[in-house]
Amino acid sequence: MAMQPHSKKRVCYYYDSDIGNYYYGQGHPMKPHRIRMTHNLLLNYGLYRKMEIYRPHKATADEMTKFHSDDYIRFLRSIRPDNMSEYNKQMQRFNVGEDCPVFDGLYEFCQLSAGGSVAAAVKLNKQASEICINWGGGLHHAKKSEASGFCYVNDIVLGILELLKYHQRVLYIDIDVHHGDGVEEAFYTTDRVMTVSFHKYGEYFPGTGDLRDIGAGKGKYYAVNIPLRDGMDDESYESIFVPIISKVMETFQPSAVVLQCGADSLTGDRLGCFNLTVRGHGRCVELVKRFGLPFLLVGGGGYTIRNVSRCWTYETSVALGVEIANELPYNDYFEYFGPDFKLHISPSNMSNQNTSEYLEKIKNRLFENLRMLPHAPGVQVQAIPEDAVNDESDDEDKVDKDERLPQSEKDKRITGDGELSDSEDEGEGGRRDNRSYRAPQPQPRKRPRLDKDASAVKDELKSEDIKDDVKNMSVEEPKKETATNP
Amino acid sequence: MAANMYRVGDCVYFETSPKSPYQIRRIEELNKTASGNVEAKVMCFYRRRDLPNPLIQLADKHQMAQSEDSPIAMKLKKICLKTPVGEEQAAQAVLDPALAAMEEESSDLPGTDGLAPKQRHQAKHRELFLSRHVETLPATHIRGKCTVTLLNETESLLSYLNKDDAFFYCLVFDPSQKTLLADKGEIRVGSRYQTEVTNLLKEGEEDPRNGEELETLVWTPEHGLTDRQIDQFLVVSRSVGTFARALDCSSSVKQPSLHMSAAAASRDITLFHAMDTLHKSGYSIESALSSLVPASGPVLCRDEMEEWSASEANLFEEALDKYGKDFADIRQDFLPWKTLKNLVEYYYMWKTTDRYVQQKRVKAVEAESKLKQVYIPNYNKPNQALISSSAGGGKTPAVLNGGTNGTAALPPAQICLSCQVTTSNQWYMWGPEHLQYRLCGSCWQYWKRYGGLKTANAFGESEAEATKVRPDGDETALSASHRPHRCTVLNCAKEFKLRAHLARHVATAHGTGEGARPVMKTRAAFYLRASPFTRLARRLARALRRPRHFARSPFSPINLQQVKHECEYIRRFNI
Ligand SMILES: [Zn+2]
Ligand SMILES: [Zn+2]
Ligand SMILES: [Zn+2]
Repeated sequence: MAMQPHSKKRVCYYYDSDIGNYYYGQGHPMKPHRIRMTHNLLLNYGLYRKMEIYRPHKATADEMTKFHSDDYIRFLRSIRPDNMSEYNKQMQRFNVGEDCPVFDGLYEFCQLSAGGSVAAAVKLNKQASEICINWGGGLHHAKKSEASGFCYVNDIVLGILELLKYHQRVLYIDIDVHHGDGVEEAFYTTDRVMTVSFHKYGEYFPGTGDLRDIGAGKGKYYAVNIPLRDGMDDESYESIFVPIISKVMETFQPSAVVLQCGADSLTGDRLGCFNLTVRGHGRCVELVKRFGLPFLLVGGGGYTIRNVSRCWTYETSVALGVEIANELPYNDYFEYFGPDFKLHISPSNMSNQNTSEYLEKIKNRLFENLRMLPHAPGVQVQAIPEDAVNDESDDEDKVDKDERLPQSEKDKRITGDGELSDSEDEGEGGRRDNRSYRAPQPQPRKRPRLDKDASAVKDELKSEDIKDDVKNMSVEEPKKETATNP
Repeated sequence: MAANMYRVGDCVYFETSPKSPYQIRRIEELNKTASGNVEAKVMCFYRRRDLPNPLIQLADKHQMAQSEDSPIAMKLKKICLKTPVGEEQAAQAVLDPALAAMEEESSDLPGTDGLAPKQRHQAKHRELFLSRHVETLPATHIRGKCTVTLLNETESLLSYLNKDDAFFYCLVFDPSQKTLLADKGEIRVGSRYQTEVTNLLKEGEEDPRNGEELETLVWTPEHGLTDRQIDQFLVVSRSVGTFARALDCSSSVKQPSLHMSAAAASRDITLFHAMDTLHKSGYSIESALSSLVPASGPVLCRDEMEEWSASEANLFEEALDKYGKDFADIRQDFLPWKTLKNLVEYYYMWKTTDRYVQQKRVKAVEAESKLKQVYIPNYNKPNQALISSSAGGGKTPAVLNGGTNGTAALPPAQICLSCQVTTSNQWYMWGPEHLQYRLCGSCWQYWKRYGGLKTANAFGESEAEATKVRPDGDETALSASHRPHRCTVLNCAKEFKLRAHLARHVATAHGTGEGARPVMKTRAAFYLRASPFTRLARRLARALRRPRHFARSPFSPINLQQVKHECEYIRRFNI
């Protein structure tokens, strides 16, 4: 096993050996087993021994109601497959039943998933770790009083709430193919958490995540949505991920980051429609890691489970800064990875509907929004050493063009029956980048709130006449009020 | 080759009638029928021409609202989104009062600013409406690929016009309800949806969180052992496991050979146990070794795979056949002595076995009728609307009742209806037969793909709309023919679909008549026009107005008396 020390980090990993045995039900695409498959790969790749491994506690109802409503959690606690019939009304109210079925051990499953993310956040708060991983977490669709999209308890929101005790600003990034609506909604009106979600948009679950959804009230401009189309490939993804994240880091200056690594954005996912490889997906982890902030990695979607476990195994290795062989080690689930038994996967021949022109326009629009953030001129120079973030990421682009995957790996081919290539020509150590990235030192700084208010007022003035009209109109339609909460 | 390979998920042209434009469908499934043909289950996109007129109006208004960023536009957007409107009346009632305030003269698509009139005309051909309507068509009727994407407001329509076979959509059409709906979710705002945000701990404030209660350490990398030492220990624990299997009766029955015992002892459960043992022994190899061989004999770790007897495995397969993966039922009726977790764990391991692979092969044969892609060669047969160009004298297709003399260049009277060229390699009959309209080859292709004529001329789109040929029983035959309202002002002759629009056009473009607004307003229940006094008051009583406050609390009344008083006061002092 080649060990190329990138930047070695202290990594804590959360796992409960029971997690793989929760079963959503026949035909349900969500399979907690993928987390166990990942775990077994980690052991046999020798990555296990390089991390602190923790078994998380089961999050208590008290912990969950830091975000969720009491009656919703009470319901999750009481509902079982054998008493479902007594809960018909509540099941409808809390959206439990179809996509989010009642299954045996449902509440425990939520407890473990949430317990991991909360414990990981506390660990980062105590500065006892630089990177924490909870592949059992990442359930980003869960709402305050509602299950959604296979998610019941939003471990991410709970983790971020924990981080907020020690961090003035927390950045949330979501690379699941679906919009991270649960997290976005939870923090939609606060300026202390910025949510950035890259997702397929248009006739796709959950339907939110429009470019124009930017947050509300104090949280205006603190929700960033990157709506994408079918067929995103590694190159396109990086071309939008790098500039957006760099700009977000520069303007928002978070002191902790949470990355949701939903693996349904991989090529060939049962529910997805992107064309990312494990490398392209893992590249996002690598890029975020370089900012050197306390870093929480959670799982999420991912429905072609052999690829999910490949992806999260690779991303664990990226977090550790350890290179691992493309040849998969033998393990209990080795047969799942046939016929090639390789770590890396090839993109399919699907067409990419995201033209560079489209991505460029999206990017520019988002930059315009980010410019609206309160920004203390000069502070940025202090906070981020000039050679650290900005230049680096520009540099990155250039370096990357030369270091891209070997051509053979990019070769488009027709995939038969969702199987994986066995003709993958392995380019070991694709990116060997030993430059050290000086982490931007997050310094507590006073942010000129006045600034923001001033600009907001300006805004207000321009459209005040219209607003008056809106106000009057709502007399006619009392149900639909303007959707801003002071 | 790749161009003729059609995959599930592709958007394609389907030809269901030779004289109509192609239909645009997205392939959802490809199935092989018993007769060996391939059927495509497809999702329907509708063109503008397929929609009832009032809905098109609604779509345009929605568009306009979308393209504006003003709060009023945002408000409108929400109304449109939440109100599936089918009837013209309903649509007007909901939309008119508000829209009247912002609607400009033209009812064109947004983003068309800066487009030439011709481009504006063509842009409409690129708009589609998504539906949830699914139908089954023979794959051989596929005539090519196209792309359909959700229009993003950063895009100009020009980018679609510049690309062949590129379409966009904004709205979802329900053909049975005849309604339009925007396909957009909503982030809700309010204390029922947002979380309370934790406060930053103050200086010296204790975090009540106790890390130790939240987790149990299972392994630490700070152990002082080398990789080699760990690997060695893993080999030893597997050896112990092999020996333990030799001593264990039930194991030695299941694994009669040494090889099999060693393989069983190498499963992950043994390795995880070894790592746990190392951790619990404080990473002392010596003490870990001794806990591998306690007084009771060498440690034996068996997972579900090994734990299950051959007859249990048979029962499981039988049950799986009968119930599928309903493990609760399987447990109840077949293996009540196992727990659900036992079953799930076993199931995922069983999937790695030869027996599963064999079963899968059987299933794969069954599933062969589901295809991922299909090859459809280019369609080369001439369309029946094609006017024979062979110099065969009066030999014209049966559908032609004379009228051409069979030469490529038709008599000057019969020029291309759309682009007015008189020479073309191919000519097509278009429109009702008695009118003897002709399209050149390129305009015919355009018509087939985009469902309209390249240029809007005297015979215009609307003429075509009124006379277009529709296959019988076609789902799309929804729109009643609708005579356009034409401007009678000299040299103008613009056409409008609604009388109201014509009236407004006349008023704004030609400055005559009573103006369109009152015409529309008669139906509008509510139109707010600031009176001179109100406007004055807005300027004068600035302090009382507090637009932010009132925008957020739409139900709190504004104290008019106070405003009046204030104005009076200011007036007096200024005079
Ligand atoms: Zn997802
Ligand atoms: Zn022509
Ligand atoms: Zn006119």
